[in-house]
Amino acid sequence: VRRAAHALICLLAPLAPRSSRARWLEEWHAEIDHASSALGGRRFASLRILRMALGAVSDIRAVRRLHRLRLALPITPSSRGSMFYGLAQDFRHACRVLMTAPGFSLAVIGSLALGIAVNAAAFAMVNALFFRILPGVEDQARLARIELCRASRHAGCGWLSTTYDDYTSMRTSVPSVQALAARVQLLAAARIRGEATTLRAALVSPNYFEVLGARLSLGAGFPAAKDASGDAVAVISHGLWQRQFEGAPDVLGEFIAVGTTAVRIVGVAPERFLGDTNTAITDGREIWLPFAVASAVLGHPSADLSARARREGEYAVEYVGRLAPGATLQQARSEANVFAARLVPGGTETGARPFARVRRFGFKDPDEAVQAFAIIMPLPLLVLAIACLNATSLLLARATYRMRDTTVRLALGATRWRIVRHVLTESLLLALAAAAASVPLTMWTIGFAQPHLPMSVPLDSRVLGFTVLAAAGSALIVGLLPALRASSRRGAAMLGSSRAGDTGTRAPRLRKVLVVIQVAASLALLATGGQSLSSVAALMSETGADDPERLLIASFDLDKLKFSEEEGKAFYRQVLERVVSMPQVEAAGLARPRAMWTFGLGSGSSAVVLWLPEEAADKGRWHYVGGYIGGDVFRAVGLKLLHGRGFAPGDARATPQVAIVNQPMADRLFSGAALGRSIRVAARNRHEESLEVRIVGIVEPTIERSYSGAEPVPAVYLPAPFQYEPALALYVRSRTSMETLLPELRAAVGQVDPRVPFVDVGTLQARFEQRNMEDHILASGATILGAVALLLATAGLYGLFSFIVSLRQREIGVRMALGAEPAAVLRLVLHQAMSLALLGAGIGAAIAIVAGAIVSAEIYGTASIDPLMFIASAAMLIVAMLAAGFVPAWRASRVIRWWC
Amino acid sequence: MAADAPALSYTGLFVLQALARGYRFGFDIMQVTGLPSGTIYPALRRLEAQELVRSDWESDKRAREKGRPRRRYYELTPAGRRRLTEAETRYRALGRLFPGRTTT
Repeated sequence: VRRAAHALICLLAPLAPRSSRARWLEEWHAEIDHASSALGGRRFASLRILRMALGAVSDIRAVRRLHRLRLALPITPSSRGSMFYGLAQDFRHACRVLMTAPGFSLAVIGSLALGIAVNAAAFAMVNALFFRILPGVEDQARLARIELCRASRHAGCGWLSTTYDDYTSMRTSVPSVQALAARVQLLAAARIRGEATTLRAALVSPNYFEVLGARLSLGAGFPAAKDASGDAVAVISHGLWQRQFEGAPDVLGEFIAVGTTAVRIVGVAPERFLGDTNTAITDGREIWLPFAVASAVLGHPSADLSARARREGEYAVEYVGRLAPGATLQQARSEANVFAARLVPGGTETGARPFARVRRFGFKDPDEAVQAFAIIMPLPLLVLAIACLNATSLLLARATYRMRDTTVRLALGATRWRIVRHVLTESLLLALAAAAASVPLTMWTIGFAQPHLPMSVPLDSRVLGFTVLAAAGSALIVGLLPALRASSRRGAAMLGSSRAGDTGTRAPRLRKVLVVIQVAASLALLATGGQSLSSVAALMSETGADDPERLLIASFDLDKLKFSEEEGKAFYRQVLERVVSMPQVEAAGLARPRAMWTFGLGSGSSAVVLWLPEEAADKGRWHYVGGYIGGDVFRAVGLKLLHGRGFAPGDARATPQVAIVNQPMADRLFSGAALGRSIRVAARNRHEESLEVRIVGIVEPTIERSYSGAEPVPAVYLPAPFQYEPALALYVRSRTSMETLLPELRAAVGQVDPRVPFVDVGTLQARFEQRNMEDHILASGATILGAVALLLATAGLYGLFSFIVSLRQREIGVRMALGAEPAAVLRLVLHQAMSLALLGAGIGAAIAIVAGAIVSAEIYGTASIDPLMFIASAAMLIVAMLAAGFVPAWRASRVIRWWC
Repeated sequence: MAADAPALSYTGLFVLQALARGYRFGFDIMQVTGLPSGTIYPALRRLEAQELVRSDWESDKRAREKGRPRRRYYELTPAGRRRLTEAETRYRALGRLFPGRTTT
């Protein structure tokens, strides 16, 4: 330490005037030696020595100043009278003042930090949505997404199906793009170390990682190849490496089975890397494969990307390019347009020429960004406003304390601006401290929310900038009112009174208003959040199925492994046999993955076209969900047979002869009397191969919640598929919990065929939760924000009443000396506190009822108020307010004891 | 002279007082007044410029004997002593601030 002190002196020495430098050095060296021998045995000796050495900084300034004085040099240009004269002094003063009142400072910093952290976290989400930040990608601003489009009916861009050959020719046709990569996204069946699993796979061009500028965590990546032919290799995601390989460094060179081929791992992607996508819901199990293995992992045996078969919408190849230095987006767009037009010389079937869309990666549609901002930001901003109110009332309280100080300064000639600036400096300092404290809070919040979010939310410079901006803004908001109030009291009378506010309760009126607003806003927030949370819960509970926690849906896709029809049928038959014989399974059946619920996909997942035999085939075609049902799906789901019979084993012939419809379908077709009637059915897109089937039963419908409310889904079920279906789902009703069922189910499937993974597996409950995740996040976010707001309002009320009590100490003391009972004083203060709280609660309740009704009507189609949720929020508020009011009141009732 | 002399700050008074009580080094003055080094040393410079304080250097020989750098010690000038007496009559309590020091 001594050496460090000496070094500091030596560092400072060149600043001393040359004439006295040697002596200055000598003196300080001696003083430090002296200090270290004198301080040797004391506590914190090293700190004391360092602190003393720091005094040399001021000393050198003094020496320089005196030197200039002696030589009659101008010292520093005097800025007295300028707007910012003495700013450093104000700053130092503010620091000292805040240090002397740590409780006050911590209270203000704490509430502002909470408010800022909530906003920074929310902004980080908007930021991620708006700027589509791609983790692990370098210089995102120079990347461009190139879409080849055919004119579609709905304007905009319809996918133009392209091939790998198109990609190779585009690489040379668009010179503004210096490097072009291609990607096809799909799901692949994989087997890793004996475990079958479904991976989110991307077929990419070999230069994919180079174009994105991603530095692999491990390995060299794809060997440079000029065309699609090459080794069967793969780059796995960091998450997959961690989970499936326990992060083993020797994973490189290991083989895994993907589709029908084995690929060698040649790289591990950077952490959180998702390629050129950021919005996909993923659990981090990703794999990137070169186009060489396309035919092995693509579903249909005939599909081959290098073949020049341009079927519309077959596989969507997406292109991402890095712009050449100096090239603009506009240049790339016109070059790509020329290329697209050349691709289909005669135009597509609609006659329109294909075109290209070239967009930057950075921005999403500004409209969407504004929407995201409008949905996500208002509630956090409201919380920040509450936090600011809180801080304002604390600062106002302080300004009242310091009234004498301010009055003296004004009397001595300080300008009003100087006083305002002083208070603002203080609030800025507090806000900056709050911003610093909010950073770890923000990180924690994002870390907490990240697993539930569909995109990765990084904390980048924009978010930090926003934090600083929010801090500066709140400093201004928080400081302005107290500053103006502090500077406006020019009465010399203030000097005479012993303490401002002694005269009664008039002074804090403004703060009372602030507290009422705070209470009202936080109850409104809490109740509205609770309301939407219960609406979302209601949304998930209406499915039409019994106990969605015990219904497991596990889907398979045998195309991924290129099973033949016989193999596929055998697989499903054996799996169903095994599952039905498991003791904990109550009932099980097979159906298309979206035969019962579309999970938001709507008619896109409908499988059956249906019309009445007397109608012409081209008229009245309706698409419905449903289709093939094998085993006991109805019992597994919990749908009761209302009329007629269920499917008998004899019904499962090569082509269906009979059908079961649900009640809404029967109502729609035959006004309910559907039993025994005939209908014509056909597979989607195969109207010419229609069949006439007889309705033998009517079942209960499943229910799907849409934005227009809960609706039963009309459906038709058949005992046999129109043609072999490779992708089916197992519907299993369990007697036990899912945790015990799932591993056994996995084992049972593994015994039938160890290669087949679940594409998707989960309870009905989990699926609906996933489907409504966005609403759920927003609603729980609102509730959490409401709780934070309540905390802040409680702190605000507590602060205000502590302050009022301390101002009225003398008055209360006199009252008690004159015979007031402590209970009466308690009642007096508590009454005052609770009347404010109840006034705020009343206003908040009115806002909450209106807001709740609007929210549920707008979003969930019903304008109902959940009274229980509402009463719970109000009760929580009253209890919190009572606690906040009671402590100061109790202290007030004991005033006489402090006095005597 | 005292009329147009620059005003003496509290710090300056403390330093004069401490010097009068026999504390002769910057560090000692720091210790006894409890003021930080960043205040004491600049105050010493100012007082010296106002010729209320003068400084002297320890002899080379003595420093060599003790094996350390030469020390600079400060003492009051007659003017400094006068200013201190004036101040002490104005602020009576000042005289009782620090204990006297007997050894150097």
